[in-house]
Amino acid sequence: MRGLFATVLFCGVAAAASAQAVSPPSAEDAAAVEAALAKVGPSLVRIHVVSIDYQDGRELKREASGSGTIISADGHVVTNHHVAGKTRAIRCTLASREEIPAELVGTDPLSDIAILKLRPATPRRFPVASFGDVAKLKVGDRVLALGSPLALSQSVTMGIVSNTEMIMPGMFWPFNRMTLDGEDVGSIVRWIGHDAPIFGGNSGGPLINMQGEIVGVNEISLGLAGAIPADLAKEVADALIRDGRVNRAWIGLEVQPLLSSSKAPRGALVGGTIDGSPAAAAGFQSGDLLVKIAGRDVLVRFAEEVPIFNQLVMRLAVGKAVEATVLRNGAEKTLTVTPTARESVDARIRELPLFGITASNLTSWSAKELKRSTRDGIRVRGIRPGGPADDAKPALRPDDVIVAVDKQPVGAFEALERTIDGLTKSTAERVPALVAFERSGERLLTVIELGRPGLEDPGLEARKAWVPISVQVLTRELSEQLGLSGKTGVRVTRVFGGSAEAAGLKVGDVITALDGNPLEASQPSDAELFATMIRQYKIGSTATLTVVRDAKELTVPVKLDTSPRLPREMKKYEDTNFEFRVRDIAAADRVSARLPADQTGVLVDAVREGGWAALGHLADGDMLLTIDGDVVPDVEAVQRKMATIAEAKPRTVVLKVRRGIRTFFVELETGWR
Amino acid sequence: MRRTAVIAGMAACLLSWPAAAQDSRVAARDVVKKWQAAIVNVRIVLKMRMSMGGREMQASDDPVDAVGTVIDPSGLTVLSLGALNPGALMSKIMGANSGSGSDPQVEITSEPTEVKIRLSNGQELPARIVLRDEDLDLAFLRPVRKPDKPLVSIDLNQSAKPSLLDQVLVLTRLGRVGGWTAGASLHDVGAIIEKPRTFYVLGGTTSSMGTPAFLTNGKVVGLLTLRQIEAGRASMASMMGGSEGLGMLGVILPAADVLEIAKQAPEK
Repeated sequence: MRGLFATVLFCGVAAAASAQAVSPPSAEDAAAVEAALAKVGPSLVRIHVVSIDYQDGRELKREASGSGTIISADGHVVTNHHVAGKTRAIRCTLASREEIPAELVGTDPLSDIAILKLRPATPRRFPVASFGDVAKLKVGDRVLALGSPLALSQSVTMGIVSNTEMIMPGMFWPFNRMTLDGEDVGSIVRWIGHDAPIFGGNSGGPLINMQGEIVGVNEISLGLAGAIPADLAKEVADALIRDGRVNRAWIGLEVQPLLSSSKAPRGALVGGTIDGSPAAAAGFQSGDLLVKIAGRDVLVRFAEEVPIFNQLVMRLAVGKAVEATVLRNGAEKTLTVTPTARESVDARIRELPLFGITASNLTSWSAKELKRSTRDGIRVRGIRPGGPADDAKPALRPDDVIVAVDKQPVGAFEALERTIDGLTKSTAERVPALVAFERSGERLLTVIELGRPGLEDPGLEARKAWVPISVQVLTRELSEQLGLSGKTGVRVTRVFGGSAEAAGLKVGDVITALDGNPLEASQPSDAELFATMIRQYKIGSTATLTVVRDAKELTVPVKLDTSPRLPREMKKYEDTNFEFRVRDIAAADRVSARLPADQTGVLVDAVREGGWAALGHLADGDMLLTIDGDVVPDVEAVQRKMATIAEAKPRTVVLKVRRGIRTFFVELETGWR
Repeated sequence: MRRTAVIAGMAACLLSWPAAAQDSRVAARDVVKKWQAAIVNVRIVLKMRMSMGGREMQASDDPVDAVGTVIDPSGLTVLSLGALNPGALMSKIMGANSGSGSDPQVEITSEPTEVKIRLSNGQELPARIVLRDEDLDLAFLRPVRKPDKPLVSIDLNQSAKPSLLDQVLVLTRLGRVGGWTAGASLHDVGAIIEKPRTFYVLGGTTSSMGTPAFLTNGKVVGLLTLRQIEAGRASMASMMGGSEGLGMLGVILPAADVLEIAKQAPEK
């Protein structure tokens, strides 16, 4: 789905290029725009989220941004489900540039609407934008798209309404079904098409009329932008604020427009019914023409009319029988159907790290799709490559349904978690578990070694003899220019100290032999020759170098050092709360970054995407100097300091960082939970 | 008479060449039979991480299959370090391709999260990386738990130095698709590099890394590893010529050199 949005938004960017040729608005227009903006601008918010996605059996966090509008004085914000529906953290930047944390109140993938609630430090009233009457909107009306395109500060673009009944064009098949979490958004949404350029980041922002009222919530761009109509957005927003969810009716009737060959003046063609659904129980048959339901006449001639019919059905009262009239073989027939509560198509996906999978409960929909008679079991959604489930024989695969672990039936996700917990809580070792699962009607057994992946010690580097200098090959050309024609060897370019300094080696020395053996280096490809020859010696032994210095040949005995520890061998600490890793400074770091010998601190080794450290823009390679004002000379100091921070759980943590030649402070915001 | 002798001599030559070749193949089969259990599959799960400008862009788990050689009855196993660290190789290739030698903005790292040695009988032994040698492209593994009984292992002390054009036998083991079957191939020594240290280069190509090479008399020559040097500026055109353009060459590292480094492998 994310891929589809990327494509869709890409089209929006392309459209923007041609929009640059539009002439600037007149003074009158500018005044009208200003007046409309004055009404909505103060309630516009930029939304910065850490969104959750699932890939390869893992939960992934990503930073993303979108737009929203404050629609209640106590801080409810309407935006898109695809902006904020699946998040770990949400922060909103108001028009005043204040940044305020927010939480998700409810989300509805079917309409792609989500509601957030601003959580300021102290309760307060917020400026509110109001919804307009979409019924009054006409093709050609001017509209403004507000939001935070490309995560920039609040911006506005202008266009006209191009279409008030925009649907996904059939020619874009298979993309004309735009699904979010399995829900077909186009099944109830007819977008307001408009040509105000929108970009990634505009999602969730308001489309307003020139009266400064919200007429839509921007969602997609197919070249033409598409906004969810305000009436639908408001209905969903009210339900989410009131109930935290949208309760809809379902009868399981598959309806399509009348065939072009049909001469029927009314009705909608019944394609079929879902097995076990209220419509099937009521006796609907494929080929029926539905002409009336719950007292409302039905006419679906075109694809544009299907969403309206679906909305009508979804608004029926759950559990209350209604009459439907169908034409079957030319005769009217009355059927009685009792809607049930509509279930989400998809259940929430969660990660089971000890299994190495992502999984979800079965919904009625997914059970039907997998041709299962019950909803008992856990549906495998993703497999972590190389993880326990992938390593099992046979390995699990997506869409397998786990039905028992350790001979205990697992009807739902929570039961599986309890079983895993029971098996693994008393040991850090891997625990083999017998797992029963279903695949395409087969019931299979496998053994999964439950265990959490941990980074292995990458192993020490072999220690070898070393002369702490760097050298370059004495090429034929260099030797001629330096008056050393006929000589081969290497030229000292840097002395790092240690035994080389003690032996008196100097930059510019040309080493021509080692213990009397000529150093036959004359090509760039011989660059390793000196170091390789040295590596053949025992650590601590003495090698005698033949050196040419100032046109005089010297013999320089050098006691060989031990090769230094590599950066990867240095002591490390990984902070799981802020999701970054640091290590002690290695000798190689001091050389490459030319750090002074007394430089203390730790180097940032990894910053996990979407973690608090990444959100604060800490980066790999940064040198951490202080944490909340305390100097951290080494990894142990960082570990101690972070332990006290984990205990105290402050709202922010301030790091002093050196990056290149610059020093600055990084403020990490936290969301302890 | 003289003519008959010439013809007889020619016939003897014609007959003896294939007979010698046949003999070496028979001997080679015996070597395969004797040592094939010491050639093991190694499965490593790597956490691959790509960062750009110091910022993580992508992290994923990737299982990698490699072949290793058991060199000690306790299970000490050696393989090509490149198998454990494809991130370094990818960084190198990307760097070479960028034409700037390396791209400091993009870094690909790979860290092992799990290592298993799969013996020829199918038994899997969880293992640890105990030592690496970036210089010689070696990684040494030890089973986490001591094996129930001593493993078949190749004694690197019983080594030999081949001459140019000598025939050497390379052992290997196929992977999952090949049913973990032992394999072997015969090659000639195509070149002998003498500086900065001795490496033997095989004529023809072999994709084996981390596996041993023997003379057909059963003496071990060394271990196939990847020799890498700083490639400098590599263009697409130079890469068309093969791995040399990237500063890489498959070589046999003499057994004595492997043994020398193995002495540093910790017991645990």
